[in-house]
Amino acid sequence: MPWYLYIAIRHTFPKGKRLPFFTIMSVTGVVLGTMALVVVLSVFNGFGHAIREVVADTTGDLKVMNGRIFEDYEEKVDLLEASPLVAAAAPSAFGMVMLQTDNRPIVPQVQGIDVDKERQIVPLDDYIRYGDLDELDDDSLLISSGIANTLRLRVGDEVELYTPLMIQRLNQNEVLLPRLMRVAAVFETGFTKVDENTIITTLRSMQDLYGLGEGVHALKVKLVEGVDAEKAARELQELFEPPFRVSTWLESNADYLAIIEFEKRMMFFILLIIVLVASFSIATSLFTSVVKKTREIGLFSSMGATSRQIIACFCLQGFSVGVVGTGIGFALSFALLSARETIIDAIFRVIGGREQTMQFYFFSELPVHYNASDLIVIAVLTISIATLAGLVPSIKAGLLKPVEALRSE
Amino acid sequence: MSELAISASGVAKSYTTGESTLEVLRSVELSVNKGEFVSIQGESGCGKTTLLNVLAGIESPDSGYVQWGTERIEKLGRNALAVKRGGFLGIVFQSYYLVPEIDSLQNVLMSRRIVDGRVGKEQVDEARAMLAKVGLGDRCHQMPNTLSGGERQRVAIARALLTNPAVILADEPTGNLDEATGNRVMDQLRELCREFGTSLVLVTHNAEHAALADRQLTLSQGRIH
Repeated sequence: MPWYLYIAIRHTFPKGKRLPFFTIMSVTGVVLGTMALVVVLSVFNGFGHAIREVVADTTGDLKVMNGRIFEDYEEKVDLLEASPLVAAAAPSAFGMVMLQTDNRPIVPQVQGIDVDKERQIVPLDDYIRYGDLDELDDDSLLISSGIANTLRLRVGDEVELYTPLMIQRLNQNEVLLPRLMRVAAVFETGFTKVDENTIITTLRSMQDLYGLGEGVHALKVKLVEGVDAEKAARELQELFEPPFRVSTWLESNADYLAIIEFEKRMMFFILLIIVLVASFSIATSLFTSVVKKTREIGLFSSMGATSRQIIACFCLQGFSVGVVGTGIGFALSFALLSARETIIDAIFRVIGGREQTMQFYFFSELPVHYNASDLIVIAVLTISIATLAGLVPSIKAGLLKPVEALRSE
Repeated sequence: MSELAISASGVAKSYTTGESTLEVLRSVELSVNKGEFVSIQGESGCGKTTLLNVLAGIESPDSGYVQWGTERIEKLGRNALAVKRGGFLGIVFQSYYLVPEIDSLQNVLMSRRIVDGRVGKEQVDEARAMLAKVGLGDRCHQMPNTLSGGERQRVAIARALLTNPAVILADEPTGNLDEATGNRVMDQLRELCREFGTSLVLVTHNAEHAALADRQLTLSQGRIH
């Protein structure tokens, strides 16, 4: 090992002695900066990743729509299922309804599905919390856990549904009679956007409610495992004439993902300030070290050390602080994130309001995803900033004249 | 004719403070042969350390020149001079200047690390042997703050000699030691220089130590007598 690296390590982490104050403060600064970056970016990545996963799980990989109602969906389902890229396709109709029970109204999203087809795309059975999916018929519906909680509904309860079609009929002086439906089951996907405000009916019920005839609004497509969604969307588009459009879940939810990506980048730059502040503590401490070690610098020069080697010696102290601080920061971040649910539970036990807080987010748990490229960027940037922080004091050390260094008091 | 190890020719050095100029060295002429032990005595502030610094190339003379062997050093750049110094000279300071964060063995090895770039098992064995020669074979892994003054100076001597330099420049090496310890350190320094054929230029106040030299010189009024 070159002498300047050896001395840099020994100055920063002396053997058999207490860690110097410089090392403790500088390493702590880098650890905190690294932790802030790793924790926040991993949580943001977790949100993005979880949205991708949940959206794919709850809506399928691709969506085929023409912006209107189309009736020849069975033909199109066959066409899609004939493609080697497609595992399954299912028709879907959707809209909004007013659901009321005991004079308490809410306005949920409604989806009409072909249960057998839908099962091939979405793991519906896994999402059922109460009741039985097979009980779903044209006079019943599935309600999300959020609606069940809000309206205190149970399996077997009856609800009234009002649709936009009924309002149109009301305008034509027809009597407005709600559709009575029974709760067949309560589901929960883990995706708050769905769980808070969604009901599911059979496709036939939805066609009745919305007056769609034999029509549907969209086809959901599940791709064969490992097939790239964007590539498949381009290829499958060739099977359809405009205005039919094959889009990925990514396009459909691009707004969420773009916001998360933007927030993540902003947080990265904001949190980088912590590392910059830490770099000032490294620079200040190294300046002090250079003053304290002036005679030692003179000694090294008298033994044949060049200016460049002396600069390297002090610069490497910044580097070693960066490496150790980043390493510890990563380890603590991983530990903190793996215990995140325990920590969040403890916080909510003290401050309360977990349910209210979580309802604003898409997920019932804090999602985390480690992105290798983010971790590499954090490590490289943090270590570079720590090294650069040592550069100015190092140059001061390297430019010291040996005789002045040896004479210093 | 003896081979020249280090020499100074017409070396002058002065320091200016405000309007006053202090001439420390005035046309110093000094030649030290290979393996020779030369002592330089003089009053405090007469310029002994300045002369040693000029000989070591860590301070430039105002005029005159210094030769290491047959090479004049004034034309060498700072880094080239440092590299050359590492291989040619060993310097022993009054205040030892050991690196406090590393043990005795590693302090001795520092000179080898700087000169050779890196050290292997062979160099480590050499450093152990050198520490044994100065009587500290059993103190290899002691940190400097656990050693006495005499022991620290012996570590510094071992460090200076490890690279087998042509010349050792010793600036009051016993200045911080009691008489008995100083005598022991001086004996070891002289013996080891003799054993390795290393020239020794000793700057000292101690007449007894100066008397051990092959040649005793005095620096007064900026000149060697």
